Order: sequence, then C-alpha cells, then structure tokens
Amino acid sequence: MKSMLLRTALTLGALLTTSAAYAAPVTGGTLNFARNADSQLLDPVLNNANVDIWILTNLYSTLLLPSADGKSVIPGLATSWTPSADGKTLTLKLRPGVKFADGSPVTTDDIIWSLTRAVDPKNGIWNFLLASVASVKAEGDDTIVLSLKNPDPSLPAALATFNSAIMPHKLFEAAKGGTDAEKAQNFAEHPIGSGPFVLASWQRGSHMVLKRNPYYWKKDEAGQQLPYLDEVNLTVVPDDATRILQLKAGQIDATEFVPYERAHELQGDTNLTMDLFPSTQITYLQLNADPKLNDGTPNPLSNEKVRQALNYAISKKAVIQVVTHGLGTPMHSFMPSTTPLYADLGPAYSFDMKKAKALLTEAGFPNGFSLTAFAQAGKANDSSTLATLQQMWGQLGVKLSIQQMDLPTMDARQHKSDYQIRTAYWTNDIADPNEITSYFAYFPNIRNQFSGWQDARTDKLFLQSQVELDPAKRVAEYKELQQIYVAGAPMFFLYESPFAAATRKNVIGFRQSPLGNDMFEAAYIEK
Amino acid sequence: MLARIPGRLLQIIPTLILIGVVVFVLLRLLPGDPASALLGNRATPESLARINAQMGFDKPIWVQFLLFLGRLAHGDLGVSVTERIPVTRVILQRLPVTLCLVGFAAVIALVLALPLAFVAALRQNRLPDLALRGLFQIGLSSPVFYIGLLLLGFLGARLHWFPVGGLGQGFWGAVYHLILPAFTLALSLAAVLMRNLRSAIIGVLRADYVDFARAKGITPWRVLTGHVLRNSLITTVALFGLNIGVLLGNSVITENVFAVPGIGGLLVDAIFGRDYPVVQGVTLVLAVLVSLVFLATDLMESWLDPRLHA
Amino acid sequence: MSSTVPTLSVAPATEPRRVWKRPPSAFILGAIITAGFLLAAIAPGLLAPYDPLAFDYDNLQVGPGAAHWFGTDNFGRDVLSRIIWASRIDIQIALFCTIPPLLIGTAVGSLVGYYGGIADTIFGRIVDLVITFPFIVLVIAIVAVLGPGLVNVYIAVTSVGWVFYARLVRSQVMVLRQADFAAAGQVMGYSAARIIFRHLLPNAMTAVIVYWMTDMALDILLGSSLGYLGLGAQPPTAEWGVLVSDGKNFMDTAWWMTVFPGAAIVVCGTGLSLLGDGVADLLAVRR
Repeated sequence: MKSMLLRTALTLGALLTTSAAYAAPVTGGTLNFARNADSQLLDPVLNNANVDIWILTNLYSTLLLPSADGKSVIPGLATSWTPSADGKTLTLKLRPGVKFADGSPVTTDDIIWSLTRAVDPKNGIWNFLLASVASVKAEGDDTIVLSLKNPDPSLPAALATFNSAIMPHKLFEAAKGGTDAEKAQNFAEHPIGSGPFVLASWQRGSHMVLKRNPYYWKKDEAGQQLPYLDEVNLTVVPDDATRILQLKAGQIDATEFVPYERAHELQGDTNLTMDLFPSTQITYLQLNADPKLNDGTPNPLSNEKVRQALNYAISKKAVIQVVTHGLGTPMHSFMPSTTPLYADLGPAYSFDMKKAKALLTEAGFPNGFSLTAFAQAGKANDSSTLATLQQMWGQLGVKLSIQQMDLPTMDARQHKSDYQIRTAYWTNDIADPNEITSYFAYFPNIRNQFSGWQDARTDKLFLQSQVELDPAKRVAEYKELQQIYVAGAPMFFLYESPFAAATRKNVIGFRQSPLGNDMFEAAYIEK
Repeated sequence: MLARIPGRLLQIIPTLILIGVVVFVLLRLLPGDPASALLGNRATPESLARINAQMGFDKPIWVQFLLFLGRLAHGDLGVSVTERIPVTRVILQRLPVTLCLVGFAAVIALVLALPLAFVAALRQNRLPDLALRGLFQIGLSSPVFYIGLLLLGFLGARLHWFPVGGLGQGFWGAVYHLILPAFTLALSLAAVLMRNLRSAIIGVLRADYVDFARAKGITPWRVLTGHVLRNSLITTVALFGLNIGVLLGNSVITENVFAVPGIGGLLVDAIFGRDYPVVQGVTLVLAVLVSLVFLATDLMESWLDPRLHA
Repeated sequence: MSSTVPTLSVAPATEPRRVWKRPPSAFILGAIITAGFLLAAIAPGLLAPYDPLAFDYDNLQVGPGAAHWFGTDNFGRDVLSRIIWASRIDIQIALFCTIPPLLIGTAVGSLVGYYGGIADTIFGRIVDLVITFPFIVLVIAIVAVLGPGLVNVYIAVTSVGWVFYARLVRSQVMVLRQADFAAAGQVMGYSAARIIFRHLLPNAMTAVIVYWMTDMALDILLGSSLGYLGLGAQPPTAEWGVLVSDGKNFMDTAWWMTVFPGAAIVVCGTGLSLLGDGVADLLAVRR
C-alpha cells in the first residue's frame, strides 16, 4: 500500500515536470480510452451528471482553472483576477487572442452571455455556485467586471468550475430550435468551446471522438502547443472486467474506474501503468436522525450518543481492507481531505468497542436494538461493507438488517427521508468546501442529506464563511464547523479512496483531477 | 396471400395498445422517480420539482397517459429524461446494432446447423451423431452470459483472435466485433435448428419417394440436397420467428457481456435510470418488431411451403 | 416447448418422437446428475469440504489442486464448497419459479379450456401480450418494480410464467373435451369439476409434467442470468450466476472462479433436460 501511494506521488511529480525532465512529448496519434458510462448532455450549465462534467473540461475553458492539487486557482481564459477592497466586485483581465475551436474569437460578449446564463436560477442545478453574482459587465474588450450582491470568497473557485465555462454566444443562437432549451439541446450535440479538444462525432451509448482544437490557447512549459494528441476516442464499456481485458489486450490505451481489487495485480503488469489519483471521493453511510421513522416507530439514531457509539464501533481499517484492499484512508471529517480548507482534526471516531458500549448504555440501549440499512443491489462493495458492520455492531447487540434495492429507489426514499441508513458516495465538483457543506451540514438546503440533523451554530458559521473576506477567519470557521459535525455524527464515517485508472505503459500524462475530471490535454503516447 | 397482410397488421394494434398500458402502469408502480434518479444526493426539493414539471411528470397520471397516447398517434415517443433528445432518435441510434446482432446470429446458426445436421443424420446413432447430440444438449443448457464470458476470455483476451467487446469502427469493424457476440447468441438457436433438421433429414431418407426417385435413377444425394435445403430454410424461418422474442431477450445479456451498444442495454439502463419515455418507446418498438417478425415468418412459411397454400 | 427464456423453443419435429428416442443411458445419466445436485441442495454441509464463507487470507486465488479441487476465490474461499452450497439456492430457484406457475396455470388453463367463451378471449389477449414481449425483459421490469432479490424473482417469474402452463393445459383440455370419455361424462350428468379433475386433467398432466422438467432447467438459466445482472440472489449469498459474476473480474488471472460455477449451471441444466426427455419418453410409452 505504501509503495502504491508513493508511486502516485511520483506520477504526479513526473507530470508536473514532464517537459523539463523528459524529451519532448510526442505529438499526434489517437488515445483510445474506455469509460464506464456515456455522457448525456454536454451542456456546462444544464447537465446533471459526472459523465458529462468529467468530459466537459476537455471541450470548454473557464476564466480560471483549478490547480493540479485542486486546492487553489490558476489563470485560465483570464490572466488575473482582482477583488475590490469591499469584496463586492471582481475584476478579471482577459487573455488576448483566444479563439473557439471554429476559429472565431472569444469576445467579452461571449463571456457576459455565458456567465449570465450560468447565474440564472432557472437554468440547471449548478447556479447556486454563482449565486453571489449580481451582474457581469465588460470594460473595454479585455476586462470583465463582476458585481456581487455580497462578498464571495469562493467565487474564484466557482469561476474555475465547469458550469462557468465560456460558450460561443453567436453559435449558440444559430443552433436549431425555437426556445433556449431547444437550442441548448441542439448545441450540446455539436458543442464548440475553447478547450483543448472539440467533439468530432458521437454515437450515443457507443463512442465519442474528440479532435484536437487547433486554436487552443495553452502551451506547455517548454512552449510546445497543447494538446499533444490528435484524437481521443472515448468508448463506453460498462463492465469493469471487460475494460481491463481490453486494456491488457491493447485494444484500448487507458481506462478509468479500475476496481481496487485489481489494482495490485495491474501494478505488477509490465505493460501497464496503474495510477491512483488523489480524489475528493468519499464513501460513507448516510443515516436518518429524525426522531421517528416514516412508519412512526421511534428512531434510536436520533440520539447523538447512539450515533457516536455506532461510529466508534466501526473498524474503518477492516472496511478499508475488505473493500478497497487497503487503498482507502479513513475519513477524518465529512469533507474529503483534498478539499480546500479541510481541517485535519485527527481520526473521526477511532475503533473503540469499550467506548461504544459505554455510550450505548448511557443512551439507554445496553442491549442494543435493530436497524435497517439500504444497500445498492448488485454492488458487491456495498454488501461487504454492511456485512462487516453487521459483525462489529452485533457485538453491541445492535442487529443490522440489509435491504437491497436499486439506486433510484434508494435515492427517492432518501429524498422523502424514508430510510434509516443507506450506502452513499460523494465527489466534490468545485475546489471549495462550500458545495459539500451546503449539502451535508447547512440544514436549510436539503436537511443535511435528508438526515434531519440540525445545528444552529453550523448554519450560522456556514453563512458567515460564505461572505468571509479574511481567509484566516474562513479557515477558522470551517474548522469549527467540521468539529461540530464530527461530534454530532449525522453520518457513519468510512473512507476516502483514490481514482484508480490504468493505462498502457506508453501513455504519459493522462490525469484525473481530484474532482474527477478526465484530463487529456497533456497526455501523449510514447513511440 | 398478400391480401392477408392488412388484416394481420390491424390485429397487432390492440396488442400494442395493451402493451402500452401495461408498461405505462408498470413504470408508475416503480419505486423512485426520474427526477430523483437524475439528481441523486444533490437533489433539492426545488430542483426535483422543476425537473418533474419540465418533463410533465407533475401532471395527474391519466393526463400523462392521454398525452402519451396523443403523441404516439403522431409517431412521437417523447423526450428522453437523461439524454434529453427525442426517444425516436435514441432508439434509432441503437436499434440497428441489435438488429445486426440478431440477424448475424441467425445466419451463423444456419451455417453451423446445416452441415452438422447432415453429419448427424447420415451417421444416425453412431459416434458423430451421439457426440453432436451431446453438444446440442450442452449448448441448450448453457447460459448466454457464461458462453459469452468464456469466448471473450479465451478467444479474445487470451488468444487475441477477436476483439474484447465493443463495436469497432465502420461496417467491417462492426462485423469483426460482432462475430463473438453473434456466435454466443447463435449457439442455442443452432442447437434447436440442428435437432429439427436432423429429424427432417432422417424423415426424408425414409420417405417412399426417395425409393421412387432412386428407382428413377436420381441419386439419394440429389433428393436430399434439393428437398432438405428447402426444408431447412422453412425450418429456419419458422424457428427464427418462434424464437425472436427469446433472441431479443438474450441479446440484452449478450450486449451486456460484450459491451455492444444495442437496444437491450439501453432498455436496462432506462429502467434503472427511471427514464420512462425511453422504456415505453423501447418496449413498444420491440413489440412491433416481434409482431412483424411473427407476420413475416407466417408469410415466408406459406410462400416456401406449397402445402400451406391450400 | 420452452418459452421461458433464456433458451429457445423447440418447434415440433416433423417426424414422430419415437425415432428421436435416445439411448436409455442418457436418461440414467440425467437422473444421476439431478440426484447429485438434489443431494448437494439438501445436505451441502455433508459434501462441501470447506466452510463456503470462511475467508482464508493465506490462500487467495489458489489454482485447482489437491487441497482445493476447484481452487479458491479472491477471499480464499473454496470454490467447490461455494458451488455446492449454491446448489441449494439454484435448486430452490428451479422449484419456486416453476411450481406456482404450474399450479396457477393448470387451474386457469383447465377452466378456460373447458368453459371457453369470454374468459377464453381475454386469455387469448394475455397470451398475445406475453409472447410479444421478450420474457426476460418483462421479468427484469417486474423485478425492478418489486426490488432485486430472490423472492421477487419468484413473484416476477410466476406472474408471467403461469401463462405458458395455462396455454398448454388449455389446448390439451380443449382436445380432450371432444374425446369420447368426456362426452360420455357429460351425458351421464357428471359435474364440470368432476369431469375436469377426474377425466381431463389427469390426461393433460403428461404434457404439463414434460414441460415442467424443461422449464426447471430454463429457470435455472434465467435465475443465474438475473443473478449475473445483479437482480437475483444478492451477495454474499452464493448462487451460480452470482459466482460467475464475481469471478469474471478475475477471468485472466483466476479462471477457475468463473469456469467452474458456470460449468455447474451447464451440467445441472443438462441433467434436468436429459431427465425431462427421458420422462417424456416414458410417459409417451405408457400413454
């Protein structure tokens, strides 16, 4: 395990210094990459799913970009960004001479239109990330000024997120359709952006070809034009095992979502490189803390001590061993450790059966009780996790029964708070802690993952942090917020785990960002 | 014979309407809803409501059903919830793949079964016959996913004779990629076909007219090829018609194993993504397909088999 | 006739079945295989050399050998023992997916066949509906409604499968109703129930039993296919389809995890089919 982590670090290091340390990257060629599911709607603003988000960054550029470690922001289509003293305006200087993939220039009109569209609360589900923006204006043709309703420390990160991608206004308007929704639909089938690649063809459910954008604005450190590849051919192969067989056979050059149980074996394959990219991916159990369940029976999980006791009674190490084959790390907070402003408060509930027993007795359940957990049907990891917990909680007299169901059923029941415990996963979409916090800890949004857990101080801290101009204060606010959350235990903390991707040995420079985006811009195939 | 077609086509319509109703009701009984499935753990009450409103799922069920029927009358199957393009387009992108797969499988089955049936019949109850019948029995008892995995693992991944799933590019790429899945799908059809052809050949060999023909100086071989080829075609057509539903059902699993982007995978994904319009559309298209194949095989059979003309 | 997916219908051969009569050895082989799996299903503990659930981290993915005839899986569990324990689930699938449809189908089929009329017309519509719909697709849809799991698979298969039994019984009853003894019964003033149960059904049951034997083999295929797709038996329950599905991740490094459980499906299915054909021959002789 250690060697694998080390290797990850080395891979990352190598990536950052690629051009300096090695001979010039090879230009040209096609990278065949197998995904586990196809995209649905390639619109930066209107999409709902990772399958879209993780590809969009190859098609579109944003004004700012997340740094490689995902913890800060670097220049994109804008070369600099300057907040005013009162934090109510943000001024961005634009990179000169940037063009869309059809050769037309990126104008201030495109930027104003794109951002205004992204801010509109009627459009899609991501506009909350830009909720502070009151208006977008141009000053001359190289400056954009954002006027804000309130100071917003997360705005630079939001401008580096997929939904604030810059789209060509004229081409969008020229798309077929009477309404904006129809235009968006048609435009999303042949999207033109200013990203490293442009969509050349798309056979739904089968494959998608991305071609090099000849007008791409970015060069590598050695001054060589990006991207290196001529083409990326993204095929859809839902089955994990089949993807790996294809990779081994050389039918594809790279793939994602390698099951952890295969990582060790693939690492030993001299033809392949096994990459474990640091991610914002967490696996946890969501619980319902409402005093009563939907059927009217009292819910022991409404008692904070019970939640703490059960958290103490989980050996995360055992779960990590069984499910991730040692590749995961225990969660210390509700947010992944790769999130900016994450505060490392030490292990959230290290395994301690004595403490668990004591807390449970204190809570009035010395002999335990029964719980029901939902697991996603057919997902072996879910059932092994819960089976491990069954054993550990069984020692406290807590009887856990597992109910299998498909994901939409589970989601719908959670949305109605009609559940007790469910398996769950999360990946951040923005390089800022505010997204996950608004969904997990700030009650008014979605009752904290429909758990019903509420803490007034947390809600206040979150609102403060959203307008906090002093970075140090924002750090402190987030630290306190995470402390309260862990103590309140409205979830069962499990583990963080890396994105496991594998490539043929001659593929260099492919990367998955901590947010999950597949980054092909610096990838190339060695001869 | 052709005069029967319009009547038969009309008969299909009530069945289709019935299927439409059953699927519509079944879908509304499914726990979970499209908006929840789409948004997962980022769902807010507002976004759920907005998506339901956009898709018209907030209307009373009977209104939704009437709207569905109204659109259907114009050949409009609605818009996919996940892909947000017309369902007819979603289906048209996937249907040809499945049709090719099933058609390819039928051809392979015939090519496999015909010579083997001859061998078995001519060596009746001797070693080749017993061996082939044993194989036939095993072929019928093997689940599609198992045969598929074995072929994929050994002929594809180990020996590199065939690609490991996918569809490839261009027409010939697709043919090459579809060989293993089509073969997988063909095996059980070939087994049934062989069993029937073998019986047919044995029957011909025993028939009086073979003796008669032989007396006239025509070799049994000529009789056999002439008669049996015609007969085998009829049997193939009939069996194909009888089993089209089964082949389409099995193609759901074959497509899953070989990562073939056909309509089977689309349907399963749509069920688990609660994409109501796509599920409705695909099931209707499948039902039309099956009904048309039934009709076509009836017609083909009567065209090929003069005895049925009376 | 086997409309119960995932294998194919056998069209009536153009020549009497007698010629097809297989050597009795095939029937005996079928009986032995079936008896073997029944034994495994009834007393897996006696046959299995190891605990099917016990992890053994010192023996991960060991190939077939003296200690583990069929090797071990990625948790060091003995594959042979897991296959033996899975027999219990798969035999259960074969029974629970066929007996309720058999009972319901026989009842409906005999009533519809005997009385005819409007009930028969409605039944005809239902048959149209069911045969126009790929069986496995319908089962997948119903399982999705009910939620994955074995019990729901039984319910789903029953809710569609009875139609095939009913269709069979109906056609038998309709033919037999014209026969002399049924007509005689009517003349003698016997009640409909008596005619159906004492005269028509016993004669119709031959075909039903023959169909039932094939249907069991097919439902094992169906159940394991659903297990493979993640809709049937849920892990950690050992079921052959689930075992194959678990093993396929390791096709290239531990083939025994996939090959042996799949082979169990094939052997069991073959055994049941051979037995079914043998029974068909025997019953045909007696008639």
